[in-house]
Amino acid sequence: MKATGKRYPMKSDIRERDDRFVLEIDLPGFDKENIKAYIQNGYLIVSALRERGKEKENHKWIRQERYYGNYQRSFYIGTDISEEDLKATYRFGVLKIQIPKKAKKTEQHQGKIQIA
Amino acid sequence: MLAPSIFGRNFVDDFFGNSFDDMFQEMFRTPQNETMGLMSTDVQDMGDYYQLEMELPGYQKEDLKADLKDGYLTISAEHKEENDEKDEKGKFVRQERYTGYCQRSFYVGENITQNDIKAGFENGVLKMAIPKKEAKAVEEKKYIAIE
Repeated sequence: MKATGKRYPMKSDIRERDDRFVLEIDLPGFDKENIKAYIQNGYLIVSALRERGKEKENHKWIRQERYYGNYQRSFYIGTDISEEDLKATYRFGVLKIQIPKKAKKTEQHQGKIQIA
Repeated sequence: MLAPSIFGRNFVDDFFGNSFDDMFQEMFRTPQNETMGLMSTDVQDMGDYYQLEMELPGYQKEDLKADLKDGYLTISAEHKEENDEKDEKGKFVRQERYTGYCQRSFYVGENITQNDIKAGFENGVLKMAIPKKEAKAVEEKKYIAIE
């Protein structure tokens, strides 16, 4: 499993288990609805949007270290795996995706992965 | 290397700086690379209070601690074994996330007490509202008696 993209800010862990890989991505402070994951040409692409709240616009910044805007990162998972094979959850600011090593036999088509 | 720095580079200067505001701002000028992207924090001046937002992904409320001492607000996070709903089996193919102990301090002034600060934690972001409190107008100079 290869990963491309910036090392920061979407810090990710990948653990290998007997039957699957477990991918965990730090995405603190997002709404679940603004996180999208899909597969394209063998890459699992995770993108997320975080906008600065309106209430913040008119106030003076003393320190800004957090990044607002679009995040995207992709991971090569091979062409055998489709969206139906993946399970995703978002808890405590971490997106966790379970990627089986062997795909179930299903027709490949592009759809979005449900984030529970 | 992975632990964030506690104080800014100019900590000593800050400490002997002039006003509360100067100190506060100086504190918040820690370069990003010193924190390694951990505990990234936004601070905004909301008029009558400061709004602090700190990223702590993967931690739970029970893992966090916030202390006030000598005018410094210190936030620390450490995973507690007992709330392990994670499965940590399997070997790492890639490891970028830091899940150990981390802490960071901010100078907030000595007039702030525990009860003044409101805090909430959601989706890995700690939010705190720290009221602005006037420093006591003129501090009495304490002369040392020379005998």
